Formats: sequence, C-alpha cells, structure tokens
Amino acid sequence: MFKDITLGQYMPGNTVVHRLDPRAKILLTIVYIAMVFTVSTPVLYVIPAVYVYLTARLSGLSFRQLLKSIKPLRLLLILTFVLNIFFSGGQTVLVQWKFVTITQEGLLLAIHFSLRLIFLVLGTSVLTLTTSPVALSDGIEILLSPLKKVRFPVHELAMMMTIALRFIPTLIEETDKIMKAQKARGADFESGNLLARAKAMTPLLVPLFVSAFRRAGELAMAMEARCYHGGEGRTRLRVLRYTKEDGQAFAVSFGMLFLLIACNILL
Amino acid sequence: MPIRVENLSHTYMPGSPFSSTAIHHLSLTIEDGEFIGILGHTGSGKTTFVQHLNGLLMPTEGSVIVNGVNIKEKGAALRELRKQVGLVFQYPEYQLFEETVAKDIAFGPKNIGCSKEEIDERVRWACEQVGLNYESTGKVSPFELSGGQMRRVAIAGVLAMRPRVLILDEPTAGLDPAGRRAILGMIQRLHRENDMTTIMVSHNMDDISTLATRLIVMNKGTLVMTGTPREVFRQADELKAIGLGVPQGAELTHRLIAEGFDLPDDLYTLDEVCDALAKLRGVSAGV
Repeated sequence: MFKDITLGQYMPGNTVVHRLDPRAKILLTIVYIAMVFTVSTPVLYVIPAVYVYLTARLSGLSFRQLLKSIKPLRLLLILTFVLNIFFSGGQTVLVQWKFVTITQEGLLLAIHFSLRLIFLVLGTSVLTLTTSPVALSDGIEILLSPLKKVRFPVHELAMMMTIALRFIPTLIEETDKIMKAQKARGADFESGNLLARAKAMTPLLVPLFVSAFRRAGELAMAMEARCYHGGEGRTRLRVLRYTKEDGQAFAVSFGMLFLLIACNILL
Repeated sequence: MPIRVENLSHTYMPGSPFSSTAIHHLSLTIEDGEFIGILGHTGSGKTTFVQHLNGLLMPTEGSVIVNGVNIKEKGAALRELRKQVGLVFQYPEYQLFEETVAKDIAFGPKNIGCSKEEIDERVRWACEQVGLNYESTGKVSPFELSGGQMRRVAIAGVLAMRPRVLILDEPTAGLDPAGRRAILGMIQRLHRENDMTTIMVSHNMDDISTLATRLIVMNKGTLVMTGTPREVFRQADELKAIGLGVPQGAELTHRLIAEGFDLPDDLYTLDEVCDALAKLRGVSAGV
C-alpha cells in the first residue's frame, strides 16, 4: 500500500540543477513565477515552456515525471477552463446554443488561465523534484531570516518543517509495520463499507499516535541533551554558498524574463 | 503443515530509483514440529523472509507454499493462512491498542469470526500460556503495564489465533535479562506442549543455540548455511566472516583447542564444555 510513497517528490541526482544553491533555486522559482504572470497572450507561453524544457533537460527529469505533477490538478484545470470559457463574456460569438454562449475572448481567456496554471505547477515541481526537502527548508530559513527583526520565529519554523519532513518516512514505515502486525492478527483494512473501514482504522491509529508522541518526546529529550536552545548563535554543518553556476542561472532567468517583457511590449 | 520456499526473491519498490532487493533466490523447506532459528546480520533479509510465510509480503519471484497452497495464487485464503501462521513482530508491544488487555488479546479471534464463548476461552488460554493472570491483568489497560508484560500481551494476542506455526521476530530485543529468560522459557514451553512449528529470528547466538533444532543463517538476502546448531556453530570462522558471532560455549571450545586442549570441535553450550573438560581431567561431570 505504501510502496509508492516517496518523500515529497525529490528525485536524487547530481546535475547542475540539483547542485544549485537552494536559496538561488527558490529565488529563481520566484523569477519564473513572475515570468508566467507577465505573459500577456497565450502565444508567449513559448518562453516559460522553453525555460521549463531547458531546466528539465539539465536536471535529467523525464517528461513523464513532470506530467505526473500536473495529474492531481486535473479537476482544477477543467474547472478553470470551463468557468472561463462560459462566463467571461466578450463580443465575438463563436457558438450560441440555448443559454450557452462561447466567445472568442472567453476561449482565449480559458486557454490563457489553464496554461498559466499548468506552467506554474510545472516550474515549481522542477524545484521540488530536484531539491531535497531539508535543503529547501534550509533555504527558506535563510531567505526568511530578515523577518527575525519583527520577531517572527524563522528558525523555529524551519526546524519544525525539517522535523516534520524528517518524520514522514518514519511514520509511513511505522504505519506499514503496525498495519502488517494487525493484519497478522486477521485485521482487514481493505473491505467493507466506509463506516466499517473507518472503524478498522482504530487498531492502526491508536498505536500510531502512541508511537508518534513517544518519538516526539524522545526527540525533544535528545535535542535538549545536546543543548539545543533554538536558533540563537547556531552554526551550520553545511554552509550555503553561491557559486558561479548560481550566477549563470540568475543571468539566464532574468534574461528570459526581460525577453518576455520586451515581447509583451512589442506584441 | 510443511512450508516450502522455492527460489524466493523479494524486491522493495521495484522499478523506482529506491528499488532494493532484500532476498535473492532463497529455497528451503520447514517441516512440522521443527524449531527453526533464523540468524543473520541486520539487513540480511530475515524479517522480509518471515513476512512471506503468512502472506504479508508477496514474492517478487519464486513461490512460498504453505500446506500445499501457493500464497501468490489468486484467491488464496490469506485470512486462513494468517490464522495458521502466527507472526509476532519485532517490538510487538507497539501494536497494542485496546482499552483492556483482554480486549486486545481478543482482537485476533474476533477477526477470524470466533463465537463469544470461544473468544473468551481463547483469551484465557492465551493468558495462561504467556503467564499472565487473566483475572487481575485482563481488565487493566495494556498501556499501564511494564515493557516485558506488554510484550507478553502482544504475544498472547497472536497465540489466541491458535496458529500451528508460530514465528517470532527478535522476541527478546530490548528486554532485561530476566525478561529475556522468561520470554525464552515461555517460547520453549509453547513449542513443546502445543507441538507448534516455531520459527525464531534472532541475532543472539546464546538464545538461539539452546532452543532451535535447526538453524538457518542468512547473509545479504541469501541462505548461507543450514543445519543443527552443532553443525552450524562448528563453522565459527564462516560465521564471523559474515559478521556473526558464535555462542560463548563454541567460542570457548575454539580457544581451548587453539591452546592445545583435546576437545571435540563441535561443542557449543557451556555445560557441554564443562563436561568435556571434566572428562579430560577424569572427574565425573557436574561436580
């Protein structure tokens, strides 16, 4: 049952994209998002498309892996498309049937917004596919650190994120084990109606909660035993450093953003 | 209820970058009434292997045939199989969930559709087998018990299914010496009195050497040795090469032989070594 769950969607690798500094990757993703939002007509999605294609090629991701990230969005995509096509008004009527009117403007808008969604997800999943969750939360911590000035608990937030991420596989493993143990005692998690199935979860959830609390307590104890006292004055094992590759990535990304803005003005 | 394992291989997460093969082409047969000890280093595939015996894991390749039924066959009655092959997991106390000990032990019998009277009878029997007092402990919450007691409850929960084959994965892990002795004594009694085929996974040589009638040694997912404890522990060097030790008795025998003592090379319990040494000096044993 839990065979196909991997932590986040991270695909380990050692490509240029994998090696980029996580901070740079987060910022580049923001540049990319800005790019997607500046596109003014559907034709210009060519530019983000080229961008995604290049990064995907560079990071060794397959087309299938990227498509997988859009799959959960199917419903939202259809909804966006349908709502825009039917309810955005406009003058140039293409189809008129009873109360349904499809206009050229509506069709364009529907395509525009659907593409926007698709490209937003594609680009951001390149980030999550090539960056380990721990690196990601490290990057977020540093990028958010200016917020410390207004007493925002940046370090605590990042630490919680890291711990939560760290425990996902552990809890999945634990769930799998308890499930097997209860199955060995004849438990049935797969058949019966909704109520029966919900009830069948008790032998799974009670031990899982007990062990999650036990683990949390043990972890807190272990952290205190090693003198953890929050982020104040804490140094890092792996210090993040920007490299030449990061600079090049920024140059290319901003270049494409400006190209896009220029195209927007010219068209 | 013989168990035949033929050319079994198991791969976790096949086809993904995380795929790993835990068992490579394993074949063996377990006969009725045997007490099998499975030895192996961490990650040698012991746990993966025993989870095939009651259909919790399915072979990626090869077959597991329990009592003539191939577990991979469509429509193989898995619940029936799990009734017959009881599996006690590592740290089984973490699977307890009910409000009272008696209710928790009753979980298995209830799942296999026993009548109320039968459930009650089975719970009492299982309590007695693991040395728990049904009257006093039965109504207590399992979370109030000590670690060793919790483990007994968990084992009773599997016993209440009345399995004909009992598999225990590291049943003494994390227990103090007294708790360990108590659990081992209990397992031995269960095996003798109920004529249950018993399979115990362990990496404690001393535990397993006194109990098992046959040992299976695994390394990196393959079977490297099988035989009586005497046959296996004789090959101390091979065992050490794969990161396993030998029981204290066997270790002592080897060192004494190296020092020039004229002892048989297949002794493995301390009592045997004592007897043999006494014989050397011409003194009768046990004095």
